[in-house]
Amino acid sequence: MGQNSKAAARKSSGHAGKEKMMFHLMLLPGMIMLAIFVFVPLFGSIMAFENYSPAKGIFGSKWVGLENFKFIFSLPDSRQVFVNTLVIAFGKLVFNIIIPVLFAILLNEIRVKVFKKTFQTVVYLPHFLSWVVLATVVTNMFSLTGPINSVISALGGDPIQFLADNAWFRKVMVATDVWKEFGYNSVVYLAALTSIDLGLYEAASIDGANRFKQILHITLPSLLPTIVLMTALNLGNILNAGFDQIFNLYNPIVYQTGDIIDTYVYRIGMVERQYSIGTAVGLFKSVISFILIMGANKAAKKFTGSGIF
Amino acid sequence: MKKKVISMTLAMLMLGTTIAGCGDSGDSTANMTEEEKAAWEEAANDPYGKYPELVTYTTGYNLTAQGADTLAGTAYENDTPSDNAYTRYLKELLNIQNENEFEAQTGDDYNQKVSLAIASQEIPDIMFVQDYSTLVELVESDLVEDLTDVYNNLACDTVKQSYESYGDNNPINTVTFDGKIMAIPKTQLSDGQDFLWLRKDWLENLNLEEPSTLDEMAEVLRAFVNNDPDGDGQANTVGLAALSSVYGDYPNNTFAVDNIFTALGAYPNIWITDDDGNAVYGSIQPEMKDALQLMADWYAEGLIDKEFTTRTNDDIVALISSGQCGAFIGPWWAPFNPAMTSSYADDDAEWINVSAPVGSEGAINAINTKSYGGFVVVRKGYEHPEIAMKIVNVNSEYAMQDTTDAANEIRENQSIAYFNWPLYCQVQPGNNAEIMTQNIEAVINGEAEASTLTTEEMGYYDSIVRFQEAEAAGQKADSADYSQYMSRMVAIHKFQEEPANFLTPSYFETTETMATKWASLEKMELQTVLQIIVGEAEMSSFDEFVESWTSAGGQTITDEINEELSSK
Repeated sequence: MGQNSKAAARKSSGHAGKEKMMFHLMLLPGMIMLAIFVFVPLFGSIMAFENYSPAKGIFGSKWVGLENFKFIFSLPDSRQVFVNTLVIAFGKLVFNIIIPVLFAILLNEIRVKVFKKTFQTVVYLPHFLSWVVLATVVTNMFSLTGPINSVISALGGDPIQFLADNAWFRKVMVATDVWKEFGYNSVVYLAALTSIDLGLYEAASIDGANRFKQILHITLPSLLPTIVLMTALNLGNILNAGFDQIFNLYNPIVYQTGDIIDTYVYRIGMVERQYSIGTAVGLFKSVISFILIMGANKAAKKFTGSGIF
Repeated sequence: MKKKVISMTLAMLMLGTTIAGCGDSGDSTANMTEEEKAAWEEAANDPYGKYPELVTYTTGYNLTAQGADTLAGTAYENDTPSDNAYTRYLKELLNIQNENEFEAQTGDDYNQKVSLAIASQEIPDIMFVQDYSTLVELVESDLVEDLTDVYNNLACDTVKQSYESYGDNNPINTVTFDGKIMAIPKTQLSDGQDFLWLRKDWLENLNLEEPSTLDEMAEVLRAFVNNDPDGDGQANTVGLAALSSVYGDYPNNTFAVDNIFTALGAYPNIWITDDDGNAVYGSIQPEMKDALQLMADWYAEGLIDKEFTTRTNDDIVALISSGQCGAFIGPWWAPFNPAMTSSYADDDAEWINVSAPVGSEGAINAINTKSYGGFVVVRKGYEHPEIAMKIVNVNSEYAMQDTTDAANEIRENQSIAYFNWPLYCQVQPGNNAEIMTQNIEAVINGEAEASTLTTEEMGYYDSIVRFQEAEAAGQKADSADYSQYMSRMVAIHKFQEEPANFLTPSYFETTETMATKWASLEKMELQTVLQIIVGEAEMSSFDEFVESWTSAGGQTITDEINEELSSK
């Protein structure tokens, strides 16, 4: 019998090996694409250390070492741009966790299934629209004659030019980004919610815990590992404050609070064709993101016992 | 990153095909008889020579801002950028056919495509580039062909004479590097001064005089905002439309408000000559303060569109076409702007151009432009560099004098104004627009025969006659005809009747330090200017701006420019 079970185990593992082989083959096209479009272009980062000229090419251009990096940090507004990026990205990071978690919990409390599904689909929609389209919507919403200012006027306040006001611009960026993404972001938490053992709730209600207490002591702690995981994953984006969104909504008057690394690099790199400087900033961002992701992963492993990789 | 690889891959593929193409033609020359060779030679050395076989060249295609909608309902509905009146004409005349590597609207869109082409190191056989700095980059990178022989042997008389008409500013000097002509410059017609464009029907509704001084202009704007000019009983009109970049690119930047600044002696965004004869930057001169104060006062009072900082060009167009705004500053050809055509078509708007605001000498203070407005370059190693010159010959001279049916198609397309010649480069004397108007008027007044008109003039003439006929019959004219009439018959007259004071900038180009630092200096400038105008910052921040502008690279750039100017 021992013999048999061993053989069976061997057989099944052999079988599994073959199956895995198939899976690996299916992965192959994706890996090739990844190599062509991600790994190979990495060599282009050399441009960050050169005074790149398109005609001379990557191998012919003059090597300048860290000059480009020095130049970036000597620009009068590099500090401002860096701070703007961090503030906006951090705001998005925090609220893109809080709001979807709250929304997922609230949605989970809805009993009528049809209502629940409809609601979920509706808030899901903006995720699929590009910022080029949504920028028009946002501009109109926040314009002097738009609905938001109409409400403010009706309540007796002075209309505010949200998109041309340094006190408001970042807030609007964070708010509209959260509005666009919270439906989509809540999916992962909804999935986590379904895996919570219903017995826990039953026990809690027998012990006299009301709805609120149940959320506080059962739902939230059960969601914590997912929240930590998502935060760690998103930390890598801390230097991506959202080019599409800001590029389509900003204007010179809010450069002070709204000009982020990506828009700045776009203006000096693409418009003025300074390829090396553009690459240097890109490389700088990637290195910071890499360090943050690795650090967050370590921290997640330490605190919750499970990391991303 | 991903995009770069894709474009690199595409570039490689293209390179492959080009090499293959060269190989083929090499073979074909080898197999040619003496007669065939002679025929090719002859075609290549004649300004209008037709090739024995179809020659295909790659290029980038410029489209006008009109939008393809203007083609709808015409006979040219199905035309494409590689098959339209212009390309068919060139094919018939020279046996050449364009193949477009990219197509884009003239201006930023097109320039970006050019940048990408240069970045991928694969430029089309022949292409138009807008900026001098791009030309310099191409020449320094050794990507473009020397056109000295082509120009000397093939340029037609009209082209040569037109260049010479610019005297000291001969555009050929600009494209000469180490004694070699590296491009064919497009001439920049003098577009004169910008005007204040006002809704004439609103002026009449409110019984207002045409303004002239800044105060009178403010008076009109005040009435446009407060006195319900459209008579619908609602306070739904705004003051002067303005670009969020405020000024720059005079005079061809519709909605920019340079004229208000120049009226007060400030010349922002250009390099001017100071009393000592040195080049200085206009935006940091003390006169700017007066202009900014006035702008801030007007903005606070609502005489300038309250939301101008957040409006895109399209937003302004929408504002004007929907009848919410009846005042903007723009060039003589502003009637072609969709803002005006659609407000005429949908809102029964009537417009007039006014010489306001005037400066202390009673005339508009205007800024001269450079004599070139772009360049045609040929890829280094392209076997038919002469095609570039031939196309420029055709659209500057031959097609102008051609009265056949084929040229008629072009005439009609000129009033539709969607497609351009495949090379967006016409060479004309500086005051060509005025000359054309004089010729057209001579025919309208019966002083000359219609046959004396060039094909281009003929197209405008037809359009203007259609407009006048519709008016006489009490009907509404087509908005494209209205644009031609308003610009060529009404607006342009003010060049002679109300001449402006012109200032010539001391420097037009980009220096080495500008290439790396201008984006950040420009940001500093715009930010300060806008914040002062909307009242977010005090006037004292202007002094801080001047100081930091100077220390953050502005002084270096000024020195570079003065050095370059003194070495000339």
